[in-house]
Amino acid sequence: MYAAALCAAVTGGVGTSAQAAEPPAVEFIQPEAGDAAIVNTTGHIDLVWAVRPGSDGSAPAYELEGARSGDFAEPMGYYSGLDERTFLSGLAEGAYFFRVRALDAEARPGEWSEVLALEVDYVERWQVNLLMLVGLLCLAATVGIIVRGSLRAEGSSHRKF
Amino acid sequence: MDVENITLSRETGWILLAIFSIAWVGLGIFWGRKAKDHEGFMLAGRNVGMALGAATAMATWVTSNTIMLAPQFALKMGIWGMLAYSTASFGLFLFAPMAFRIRKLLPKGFTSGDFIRLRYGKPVWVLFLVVSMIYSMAWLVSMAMAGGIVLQTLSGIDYKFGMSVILGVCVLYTLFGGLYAVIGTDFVQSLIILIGIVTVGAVVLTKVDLSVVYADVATTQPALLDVLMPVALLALFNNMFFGFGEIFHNNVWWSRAFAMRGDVSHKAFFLSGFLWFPIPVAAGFIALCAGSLGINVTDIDGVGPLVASQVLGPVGAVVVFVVVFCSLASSIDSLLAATSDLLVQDVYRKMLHPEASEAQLRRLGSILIVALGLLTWLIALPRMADLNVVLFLSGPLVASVIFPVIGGLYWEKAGQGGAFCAILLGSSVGLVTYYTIGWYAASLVSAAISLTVMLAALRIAPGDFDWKLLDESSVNPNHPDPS
Repeated sequence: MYAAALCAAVTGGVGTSAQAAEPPAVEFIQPEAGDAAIVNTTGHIDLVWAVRPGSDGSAPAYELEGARSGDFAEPMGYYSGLDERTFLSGLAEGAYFFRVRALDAEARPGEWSEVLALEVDYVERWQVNLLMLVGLLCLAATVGIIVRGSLRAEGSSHRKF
Repeated sequence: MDVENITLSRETGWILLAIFSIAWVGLGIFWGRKAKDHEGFMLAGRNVGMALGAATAMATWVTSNTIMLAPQFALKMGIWGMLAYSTASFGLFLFAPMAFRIRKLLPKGFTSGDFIRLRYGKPVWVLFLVVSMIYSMAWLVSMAMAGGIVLQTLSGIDYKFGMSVILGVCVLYTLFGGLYAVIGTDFVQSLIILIGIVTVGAVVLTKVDLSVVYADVATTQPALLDVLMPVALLALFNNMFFGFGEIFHNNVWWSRAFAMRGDVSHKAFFLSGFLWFPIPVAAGFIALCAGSLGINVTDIDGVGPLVASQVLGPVGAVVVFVVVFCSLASSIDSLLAATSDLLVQDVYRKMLHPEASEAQLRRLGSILIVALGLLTWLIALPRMADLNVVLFLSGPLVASVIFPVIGGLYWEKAGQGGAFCAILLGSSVGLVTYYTIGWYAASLVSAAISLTVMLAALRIAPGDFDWKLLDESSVNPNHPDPS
């Protein structure tokens, strides 16, 4: 499907040109790539990218790649198409690295962007267990108060009302 | 910019918008003719039966958030996310016996504020009104935003135009018909929502290969299949208590309890819970198919309508459009009516102008419906945050009111001091939790603090409330304030 969208963009939406310029440089604009990894506690992230200001040319399409190691030894394609953003979710705990590049009208790739490092670090297990226990107790209290109160009120309805 | 996903033409979007706008306003005027006096306008004559009662409760609770946030929950938190959203139906189940009790304790009650004022006195009442108004505005704004987002996602109509038209239509027909119009249109809307959701869910199931969906999710979104995903587990309880807080305190639900016949209110709420439960699961499931269908999610708020329209094509987009419009309208109208009632009864009549005539109250109710619509429009116009943020920030506030409300209904010993501290401390600690841990724990922590304070107050300073004070029809209208 991504490939189909890409082909449509390349052949139909943009047109082809034998003298197409080198695809422009691209950068992440949300979140911005930096030296330190971005810490994430939810396992989902919104990635937004754009042609780097000052870079020549426009990008008809993009390719987003991710990996679990910074050297991209085992890269995985996350997106390829016309959009300049994507939403990723369900990331398991640990390190992730992302990079994006432009593709020209003939699907020739430009240079990879600076790598965006992400560290998914979920809430501590003990905190989850504690809050789950609190949730169970509050639920029991809520149901108990309403059911017991309703039964009592029903039983004494003639006296009370 | 999202350039790949628009399914309907802008013209089709505007035509659909025009058709349904005319239909709702027309039906609103038609049903609104029954509202002869202020009580008829506010509470539909206190004679709503089983079918209309269950339909209005179900349709009101199927908000744009159900159609748009439930898929978001599924995409962010997987299976638990879908179930977490469905736990909001537990609030309807538990409100069923509460509605029965409410009708018996306050046979001539008008609003949830009435109960809090009579039960706990003015300080708690004022705090309660603040919480309720913040929540009601958050809900209204999130729904108006959802309207604009879905129109933009499906047809490319600019967010600001779509949001403005949907909000304007709801203001208009609520203005004409009051609760009669709201309940009547809710009935039609509930049928359309149920048929639409079931149809979309069934067709999506025939179009996707579940093994492919599973394989794709397992590869690219492995945490969504983790039964111990921390955020998802926390969201399960958090959403449940947010839902309890929303339903137990808000005048949308109390006004329905007052409007239904005493012998049907509890059955109607119970039935509406059953009808509502599967809707978030169906709406959420389709979001999980996004990856395997090669759909790029650029706007998490619109993922449900986006996937449905991409899978089903233009016809599917029309169905989604209609379902979302119905779910929006059925909730915005209810909230406009119930919130204006709360302001008319609790602020104007009880605080400022006790001798106000029927005509004055009715006129003020209409003015407030327009004013609330305008305020919502102004806040929603810039689209400053995503739906999740707008709505869940009010979670800790409403969760803090759960135990003061149910304690007030069932415990003679619940007193003013305990209720006041429970709301104040629960809200405060819940908001701190929202910013320090996350939205997925804030409502739960707020409810836990509120419960602890209420229980402590029962031990330290127990009250002894006379239930007869709640029945304003049997006592002096100027009866003593419990404070």
